[in-house]
Amino acid sequence: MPAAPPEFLNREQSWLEFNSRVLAEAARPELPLLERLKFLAITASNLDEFFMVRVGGLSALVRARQRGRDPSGLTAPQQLRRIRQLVEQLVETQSALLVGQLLPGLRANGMSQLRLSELTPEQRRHVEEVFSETIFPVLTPVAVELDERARPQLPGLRLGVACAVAAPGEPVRHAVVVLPAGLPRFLPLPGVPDDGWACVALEDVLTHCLGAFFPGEEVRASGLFRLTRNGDIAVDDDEVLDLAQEMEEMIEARQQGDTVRLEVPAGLAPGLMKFLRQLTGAGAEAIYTVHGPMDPGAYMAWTRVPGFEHLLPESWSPQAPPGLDPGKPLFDTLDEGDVLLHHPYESFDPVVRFVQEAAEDPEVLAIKQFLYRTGSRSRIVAALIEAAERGKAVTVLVELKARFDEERNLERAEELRAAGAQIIYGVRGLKSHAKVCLVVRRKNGRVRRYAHFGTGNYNEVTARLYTDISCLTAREDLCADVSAFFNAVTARTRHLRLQRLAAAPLTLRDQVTDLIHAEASRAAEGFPARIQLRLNNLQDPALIRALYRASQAGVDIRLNIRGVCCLRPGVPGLSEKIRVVSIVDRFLEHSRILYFHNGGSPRLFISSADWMTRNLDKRIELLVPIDDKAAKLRLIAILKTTFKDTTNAWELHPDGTYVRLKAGSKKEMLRSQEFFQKEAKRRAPRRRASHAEGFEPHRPMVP
Amino acid sequence: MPERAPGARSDREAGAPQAVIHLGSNAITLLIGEPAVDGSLRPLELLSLPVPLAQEVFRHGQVGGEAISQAIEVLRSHRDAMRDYGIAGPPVRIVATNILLEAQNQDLLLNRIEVALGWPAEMLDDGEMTRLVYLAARRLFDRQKALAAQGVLVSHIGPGNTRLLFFRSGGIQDYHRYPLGIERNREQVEANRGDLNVSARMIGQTARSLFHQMGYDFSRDAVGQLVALGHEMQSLARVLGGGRGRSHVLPVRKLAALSAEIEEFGVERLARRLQLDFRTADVLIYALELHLGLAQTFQLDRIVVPAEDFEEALLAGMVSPAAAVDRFRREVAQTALNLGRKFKIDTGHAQQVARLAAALFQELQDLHNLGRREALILTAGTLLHETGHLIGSRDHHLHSYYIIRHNEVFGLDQEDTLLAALVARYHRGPVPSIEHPEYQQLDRAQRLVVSKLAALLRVADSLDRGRGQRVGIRRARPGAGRLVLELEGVKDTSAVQLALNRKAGLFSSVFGMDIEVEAAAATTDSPS
Repeated sequence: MPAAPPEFLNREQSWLEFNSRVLAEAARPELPLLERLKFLAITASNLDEFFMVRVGGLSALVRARQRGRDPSGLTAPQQLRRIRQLVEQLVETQSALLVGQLLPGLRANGMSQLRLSELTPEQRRHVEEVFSETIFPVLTPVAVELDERARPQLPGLRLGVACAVAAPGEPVRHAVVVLPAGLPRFLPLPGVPDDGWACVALEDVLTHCLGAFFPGEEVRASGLFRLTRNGDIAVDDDEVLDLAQEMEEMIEARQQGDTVRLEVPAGLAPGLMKFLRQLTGAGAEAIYTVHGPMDPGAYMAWTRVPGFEHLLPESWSPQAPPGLDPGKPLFDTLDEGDVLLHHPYESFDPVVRFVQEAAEDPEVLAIKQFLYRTGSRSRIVAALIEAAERGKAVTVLVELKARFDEERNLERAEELRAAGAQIIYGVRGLKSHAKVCLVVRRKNGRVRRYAHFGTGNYNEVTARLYTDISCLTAREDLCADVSAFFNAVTARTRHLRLQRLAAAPLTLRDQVTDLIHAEASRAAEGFPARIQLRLNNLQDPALIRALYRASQAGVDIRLNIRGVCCLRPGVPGLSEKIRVVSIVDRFLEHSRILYFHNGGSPRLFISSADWMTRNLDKRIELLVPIDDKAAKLRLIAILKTTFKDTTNAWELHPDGTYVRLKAGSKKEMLRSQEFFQKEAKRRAPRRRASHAEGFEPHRPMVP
Repeated sequence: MPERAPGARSDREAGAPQAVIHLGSNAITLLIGEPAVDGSLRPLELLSLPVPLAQEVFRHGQVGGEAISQAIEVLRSHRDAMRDYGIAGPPVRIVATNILLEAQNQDLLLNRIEVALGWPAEMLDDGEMTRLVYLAARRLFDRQKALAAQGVLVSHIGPGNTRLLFFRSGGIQDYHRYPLGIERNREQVEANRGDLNVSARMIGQTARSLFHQMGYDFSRDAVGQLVALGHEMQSLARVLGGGRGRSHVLPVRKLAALSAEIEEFGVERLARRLQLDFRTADVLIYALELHLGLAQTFQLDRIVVPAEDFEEALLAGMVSPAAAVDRFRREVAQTALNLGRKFKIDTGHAQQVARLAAALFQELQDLHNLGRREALILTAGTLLHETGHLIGSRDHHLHSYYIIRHNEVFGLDQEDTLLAALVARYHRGPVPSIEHPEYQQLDRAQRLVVSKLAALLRVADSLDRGRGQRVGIRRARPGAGRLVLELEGVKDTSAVQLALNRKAGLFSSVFGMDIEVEAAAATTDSPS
């Protein structure tokens, strides 16, 4: 009799499964070519981060000879072996798609990447000019003597060329040239038809012109490479006196961490391979041979080339949400009731407006805001700076530990501080992940507070790409809790007593556990019980076990988990009442919505937290109850629609694999993101009523 | 020109947010609130940051430099929070725990605050602390009428003192204060423990004699319920009590089990399990054991803890509206009268003299220039002026002084009690003299208060010389060198004038006026 499968699915495998689902979008012939290319590029950037963080972490465990097993029962070496197997398949599929389908397809539609041998004399002259004027001056070849102790520290995630050169009669020596971050990967070419676009890859140009760097020597061999370094260098909060300074050091350290991946092209000369291995210290397990173009993430730039919009899907622009009169102060609207927004179908502008109006409103006394990942030209940060300059009390909690965004966050923090805002660099030992903003304002001589809660970051760029929920409210109980929450995290008080909100790492875990248990108890007593969750990741073993127990008690559980899901659904006796789907579509699914049936009076929440141990125990997160009846109904409708998706939804099977759902009939076909976009468009206020178009009956949208 | 900061207002607007700060035993707490229509504060923020003031006082006899610096830092943080609500000036009140009175360097902290922030801090006196505890209890009874109907013992075990207030039918009946406190007890236990771990039994033993005293003091009161006020019990109740009702009911059995758990596993585990800050967790076993001792003394099997935040109630009470203060004054008079009953006073006469004294006090406000506090001292002194009769009629004023001086008068601090005792002492017999040691120990301002109040009491007492309790004062007309009292309820004022002539000497020497009485003209209804 075969052994029962482990209770939990492996986290890394689950993440790679997610990346495969994204890559599967790139393989869909019915999608426009550049949309497919975008998905492929995303999988490449995702993989970079996965190596830096997850593979980096596991490699560190192996080096530290940690013998522990993860909840799925695997040791770190076992996990690394499995990862390698899956990544090799994924990269192979990437290359095959890129070389075999996407680049030829794009070429047929006027977008070409040419080899140097394909260039016309005019194009060749152009390339040589660009090289000598733009590229050559910024590149520095570094000669490497492997027997020297001080070897050059090569930066991660950059393409480089390794070469063997020799002057006549001299021994061969090695050098590397690394492409700097500022140069575009693809050089557009002149002399192409008006409706076309052609480019050469920078690495091809560099390889071709390599001799220019070594006058009087001969380039005997050359080859591309790309390094990935361990990015998961933990900051020891307890010992950090000046966190800002520490972060700067960490950014530097990340560039010099251990090699976790060395990507090389197929057919690299053995001598160069040996040189690179010695230079980078990469073991055999870290070497990945790429059969297609290296760093396919760079192809994202192609999706922004003007003139090829027809190769992109129809634009879905964010719609103005109904009920928000641009001529009426937003605070007056919020005095009348809550506003729930569904991004990116509905514009993020009201959230920006919330902070901007607060900055300009002379009655506003204070603004408090969490900033996790901001855009580089954030209007929200600009508004906060303006508010501080106007003398309002502005407190901003800037999370420096937002992975890979530290540099940007530090810059913004400095600007804010210069304007007079009080800046808090996160909370020691915890990453501040909550998305919340509080405005304190006088109205008719009384203090009134307003809050924005979000499931996504205050980032206007990602707010157009990620699905998220925003709730703007003037509810006194919620706003009082937000104020208390800010006071606690900014160390203004020792107590955090929340009436309505739950906050990680203090009460959030307990509250959701209680909510799950309550449903389980109802089910055990024979009452209808239901849980519906929409999260990005579900990994926390304790909460997964709580869900298993609820399933065993008879609770109907439907989970929409976009990424990692360590819960094994549909296992008789363990999780047979649990169904897990994942949606991968044009927008990144990011909103976190929780539904508990609560005996027929549903309780709904939005949250900044994924159900991962790190989020629940090591991050500052919020769980926000939604009380407004219309907002609750809307969230229920959103959940219902996502669970009906039959075009972009995948179902997780007990063995950990995902299978794309298919509609039984055309009538049943539903693409949830398209539905939400249409719904937002329908709900959007019309700029001008046109009677000539006739009357349009108001029909509820039923998926 | 730079725009004016929205919060930078020179004067405090009506209805604008206000702040009040309490430098408590373990923390400095800020309450920001908005005045409601009834004058109470609608809380907006309650911020509390730890500073171990009481521990410093009880351990070292003074507040150390580090703690003072810490306090200044906390106050600066509170100032930032006040600015978020547009409060640019100092708090309405900044009050320090009266535990500081026991510190050798009590003024140093308050001076440092004034220098660093420009905020004039004051010391919370015992009388006001009692009033604040009373107000917190009052708020509970206002919300839970059913609770008020029973005989309820309200306890506040503070860092240094325990206050017990007995309420029946919603009104205060009895009050006592004891030198038993969480920090005081902790220091005693830790000083005596040697190498032994602190055990629950040690805590109880240290307080045993005081528990006996409490049992005796309230032996005539039918205590049916114990209501515990205070931060520590409230922190506990939030976790153990469950629910979000008006109060938590904690079974004594459960509390005893918790105490045993702390003894076995230590405070670290408790702090983690109950999500308490370490400072609270650290003293929780003392709070628990003292409350358990109290429950055992009165043979109660449960303790009620109000859900309302005690610290918030305390701070709100510091800026409580006049209506609440008046009610408190009535309650002070009621408990003083109850105390007087224990000494078999003629309550009718005592109340009549108190009424007359109060009328005089009010009518002669411009003459004596005394405030509410002195009015309360006069009331207490007047109601208790004849308690000495129980010991003997001869020199009963001296006995009254002794009795009042050695009893706790609810709502009065030690100084106020001393002044009330002296007011009673001088209601007859020799006038205040610097040769009387108890009078001599007062400063000049205090002596003046005693003389003024005793003068008023002598006049009031003489107006009820016949104990008929008929005379009332309609009006007092001060003139050049004389004061005319228009009396109601008496036609022939000659007997009254005679009695007055014998007792108004002190009044004449203090205020420089002789008193004449006349019958007030009969009133007619004014036309509508």
